[in-house]
Amino acid sequence: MTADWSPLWFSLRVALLVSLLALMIAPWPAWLLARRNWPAVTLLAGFLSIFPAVIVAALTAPVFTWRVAVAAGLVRAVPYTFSACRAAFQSLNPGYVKAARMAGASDLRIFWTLALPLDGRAALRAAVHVSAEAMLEVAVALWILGRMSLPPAGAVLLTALAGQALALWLRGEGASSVERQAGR
Amino acid sequence: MTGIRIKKRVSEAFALEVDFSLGAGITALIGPTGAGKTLLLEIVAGLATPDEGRILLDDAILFDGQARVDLPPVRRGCGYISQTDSLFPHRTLRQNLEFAAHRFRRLERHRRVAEAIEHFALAEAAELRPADAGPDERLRCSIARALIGAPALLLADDAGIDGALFGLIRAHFRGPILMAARDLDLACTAASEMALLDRGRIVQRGAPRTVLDQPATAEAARLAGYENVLPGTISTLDRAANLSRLDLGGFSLTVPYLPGHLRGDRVWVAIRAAAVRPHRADSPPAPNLVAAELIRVSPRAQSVRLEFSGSIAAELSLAQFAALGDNKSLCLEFPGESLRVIA
Repeated sequence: MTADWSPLWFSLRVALLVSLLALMIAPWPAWLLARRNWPAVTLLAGFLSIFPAVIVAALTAPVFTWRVAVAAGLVRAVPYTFSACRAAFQSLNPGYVKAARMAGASDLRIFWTLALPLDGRAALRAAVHVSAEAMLEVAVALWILGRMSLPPAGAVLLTALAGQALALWLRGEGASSVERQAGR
Repeated sequence: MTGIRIKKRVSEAFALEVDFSLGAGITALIGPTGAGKTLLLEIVAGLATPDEGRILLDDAILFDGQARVDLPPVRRGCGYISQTDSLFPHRTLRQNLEFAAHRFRRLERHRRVAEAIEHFALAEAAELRPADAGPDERLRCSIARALIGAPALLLADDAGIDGALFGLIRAHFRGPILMAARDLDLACTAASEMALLDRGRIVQRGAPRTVLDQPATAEAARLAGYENVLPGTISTLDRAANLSRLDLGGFSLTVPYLPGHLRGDRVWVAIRAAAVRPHRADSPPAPNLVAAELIRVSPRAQSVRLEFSGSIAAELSLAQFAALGDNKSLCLEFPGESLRVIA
């Protein structure tokens, strides 16, 4: 008997889509809110960042399709990436932003030319990290639903660990690039 | 005219409130850290918004609180050099200049960038990122970036620009400059006018020499570098003999007659540490010679600073200090021509 590998492709597809969509959705609002202090947004994002939405969706949705899983994954991935980006953007040297404003750059232009090149790595790291966790969640959900055997579960686990390793590596690289910026 | 009249409350304890007009030359804004120099420059540049007031540049309104005019930074015609190095780290010096000129058409942009690189001797470093360029090149690039839009007013925060660099700026920029500084020597070298800023208020302004020689208030005296600013009372006023005696708590000094004062008036006496002359205790009596107890001797690069009881400081050349010998009990002479009496 050969193992059914479809759960691995299922969770991989969900993880990839979640990270891509989170990267497309989260950074811009994070930039807009970086210089504003809205405790409600911070609290909500913090709560959703730890909310196991995929598992909840698997248990409540009538059919657990990959679309449902991606949507549920985004419930957590977008706020998580948003918070990480916002923290990174808040630490952006205010002198850069002032210089850009003196040159007449719009918020959007500052976002594209300063915030993303200098802090984009934080966004990437957060998206990779949170989608690796989404992948694990999908695996747990499929296991609860009884749709996964051992070999694909092992593969999912290994892939998710690789994702976390990538996120950690990105963090290390990110730190050193900050030091390069500071001219150290 | 170019004038700045603004108010901005920052906290319970600190509010910036200034009202002054700007001359055509270099105006140096002198004040300690936290006096509001940077905030004032940012308000003029449009990077911070005042609570009320009016900012005019060559008769054009940049900000008017009542009329609700608040031009964005790029339309104010101000160049701004920030205190900290703020060249974009991921772009070369040339790309930094191009970014600052991006509102111009392509040909015009190229012309301005090429000109800036030539004027500020950046050809060698143009393709380097700021981290790889030297500190001097980074500073020249910051200046070139601030001037690339041909501003009507240059705002230079305390970024380490020295007298020679101000000369270079003057060669390519004719308009007024408002500079923030803590260095009085630089202000004297470069500026034609000086404004002393203390806790958000301008306490005195005028030509640098006048401000430094005739401080108008005790705060102005401290900002103008007078190490000794002592409180006192007028004890004698004698118009006929042209003298006044000041009681400074423990000793008294004689100065020329002070018109417009009454006996008992509280005054401040300011004198620079370098003007106070210590003598041996056994030296012959002279006017304004006061016995004082030496508390501390601190060597400096080119001189020696002596601190006496009553928080009086004196500064001597190394040779003068050697001539004093190892003597703890000294007399201090306060030469009349160096004493400034402030009402």
